Amino acid sequence: MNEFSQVAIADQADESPHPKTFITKYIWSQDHKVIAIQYAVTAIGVGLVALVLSGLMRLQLGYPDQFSFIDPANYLQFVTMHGMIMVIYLLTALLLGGFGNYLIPLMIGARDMVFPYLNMLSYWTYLLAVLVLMASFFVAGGPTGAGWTLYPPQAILEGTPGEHGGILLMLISLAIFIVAFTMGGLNYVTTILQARTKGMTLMRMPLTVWGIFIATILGLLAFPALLVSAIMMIFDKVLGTSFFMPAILPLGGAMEHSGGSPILFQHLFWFFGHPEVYIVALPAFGMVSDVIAVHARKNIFGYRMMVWAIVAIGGLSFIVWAHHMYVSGMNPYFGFFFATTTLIIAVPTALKVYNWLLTLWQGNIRLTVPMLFAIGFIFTFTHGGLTGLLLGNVVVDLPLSDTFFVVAHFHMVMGVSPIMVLYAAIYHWFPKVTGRFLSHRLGILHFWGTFLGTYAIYLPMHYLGFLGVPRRYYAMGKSGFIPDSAASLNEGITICAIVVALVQLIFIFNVVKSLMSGKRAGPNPWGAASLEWQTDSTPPGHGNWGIRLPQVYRWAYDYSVPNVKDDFIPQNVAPDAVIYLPTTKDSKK
Amino acid sequence: MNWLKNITQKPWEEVSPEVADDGLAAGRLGGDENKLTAFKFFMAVVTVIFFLFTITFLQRSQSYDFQALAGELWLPFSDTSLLWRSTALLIGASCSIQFGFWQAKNEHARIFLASLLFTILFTFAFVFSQLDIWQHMQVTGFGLTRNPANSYFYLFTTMHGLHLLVGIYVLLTVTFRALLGQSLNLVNVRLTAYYLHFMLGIWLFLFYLLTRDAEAFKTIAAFCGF
Repeated sequence: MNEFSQVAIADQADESPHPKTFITKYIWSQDHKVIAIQYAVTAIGVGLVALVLSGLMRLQLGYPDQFSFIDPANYLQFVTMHGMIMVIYLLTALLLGGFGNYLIPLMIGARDMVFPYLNMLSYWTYLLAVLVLMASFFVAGGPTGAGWTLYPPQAILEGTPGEHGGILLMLISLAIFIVAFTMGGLNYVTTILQARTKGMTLMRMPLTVWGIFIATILGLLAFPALLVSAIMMIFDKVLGTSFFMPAILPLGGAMEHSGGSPILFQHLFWFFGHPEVYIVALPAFGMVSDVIAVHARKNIFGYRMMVWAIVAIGGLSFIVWAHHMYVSGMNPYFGFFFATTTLIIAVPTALKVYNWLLTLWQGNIRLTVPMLFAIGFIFTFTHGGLTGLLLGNVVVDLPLSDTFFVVAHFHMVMGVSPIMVLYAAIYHWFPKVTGRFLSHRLGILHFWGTFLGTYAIYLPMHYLGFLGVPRRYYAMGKSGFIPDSAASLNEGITICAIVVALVQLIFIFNVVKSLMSGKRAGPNPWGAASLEWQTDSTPPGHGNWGIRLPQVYRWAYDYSVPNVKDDFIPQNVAPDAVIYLPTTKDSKK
Repeated sequence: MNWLKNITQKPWEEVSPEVADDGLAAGRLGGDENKLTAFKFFMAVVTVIFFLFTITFLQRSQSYDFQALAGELWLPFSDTSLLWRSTALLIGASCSIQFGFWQAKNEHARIFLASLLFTILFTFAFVFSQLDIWQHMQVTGFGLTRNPANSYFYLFTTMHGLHLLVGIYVLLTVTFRALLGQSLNLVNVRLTAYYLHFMLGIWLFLFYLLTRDAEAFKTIAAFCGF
């Protein structure tokens, strides 16, 4: 026997010690499901803070100078914190830390993550990152107002809000977050590669797992760029180095910095920043694929192409970063290369959209709330993706780059779309997590309010962009080229934004109400074929699978198989256990 | 071409009464194999971190205010003896942990323990040697902000040192367990050895990078397209 133990995990009885006390069960828990819920609750909590910040921004934009508590510095701080919280601390954490943690072991037939202790540590480190970031609201000068991209030199110069404590806490918090993500990420990839149950080949994994798997690899390789830039900026700020800081003469006096390159920071930031889009998008692509297949009662169209597209998008996402930098002053020849790669990445992405549509085609569509959100996602993502193609071209991007068109584009593709998937996923998996359904009626109300409301916000915003209304401005003031109607449009957008924010309260009410008195769901209420719905108990207990792990015989998309009695065959049903309908010939006999 | 076979499977056609095996472990192995896989990914992350630092360094090396740390006689790394001292110590750590791993495999517990103690000694000596170089640089006027090359020297050595501290933490854990006579997990020793070898590799690379003269940087940067 060599140094590695050669005992098959699937043959091992469940010997993991079950936690007994309240603290080990729910606080210092090493159970992936509890950690997932901890991640989700923290991420949604901090996301609500970011939602309030966006409301405050909208109040200022819709009703300039009406609110004494919003001054230009506050406004920039709201912009910055809203962006950073939403992208990193909500979306990344909720999709990977929340859904990744909950779904990976259940979907691949494992008892837990392969390193449960590290998993627990990952959550508590993430919480520390959130607390450090939130602390910046309470330090002198408040949080940083450098914009979520934190571009130097202004990010650390006097005059930018939060230039002392705020920016430092932001950078430190990001560094802590990256440590947390790395701990979690190592767990996810290792679990997927090593702990799949018998029969669960890579190409039998649900697309959710594929999306999370590739997104995690992207995160492991892309977050270091943010870490490197954060460390170097901390050096510039605290120790007076000049990695990113050029020679500057503020108020006529020379600073000690010289020779640093702000564009270098931008390259580093976007080398992280663009894969980050796909770190959020790929798990969302995976989850929406599964939701659509289950609720359309059809196998996902083009499974292999979907997998390859996820992998291709992951690879290509590392060579498109500078399309965020057309106006940065970088070498103009770069624009041609990055515009080309940007258009190329649209190919596998469009392929996925077509495959979702073709999965819906002639499906036995059930308009459940998760399905509504999933279909809503196809709309918002296509919309945001198409404007992305426009902006990917240098000549189109240059005039639009600093306008609300870009805000509208990335909110459609990076804000609304992942949120639609997150809601689809929450409504879809809530019965497995809690054993109860979320209210259908409230869900319908929530969906239409969110879907129509977000369109009412962002469609007009494209128009504002075409008019040339600049983004990041505290107030537009009077200008010759922007008509007064732009102000009315802004007011309308603000009203819609407040309505959409209030509609989210319906969701929170729905969660609380359903947790207490929601309709009880069986173990597999949607009739899904993937493994997480085949657990012995709902919600799954510690160890997930009772005494023995399940064995997998097929892929996760056997829906509406001809001549089979049920309209789905779970992954763990052996071929000889499938119940077939009597054929016409048989019935004549 | 196992991976090609994997990703070209047609799962909708394949319903297997027997367990399908894609050759990628598929739940066959225990915890040690998991550690090895996670370790490989962790090494990839660390490599990317140092790669990115290096790219920024090469870009910065082409700015007007950059002055290489070697070349002219008065520059600190024209004499590399202090750097060689650090290198020798890290090689010592790397060799002793590897020797310790072989001893552990052959169940020579006492020699294994002695090797671990030597490894700790060498590793700490390396850290102190690095701090001594810092001191030497400061005294001779090559402080952190004097020149971008200096800044990078401190940045690189700080990052390398911090990563080495992770190795020291694992090393101490393994040693305490060995001292307490707990059952030995060989893969932990093996991975600690790999990690120290890897840290040595990174250090040798940094050594090479930091001791180039201005001409060399010009050539490397031109090669990289800066």
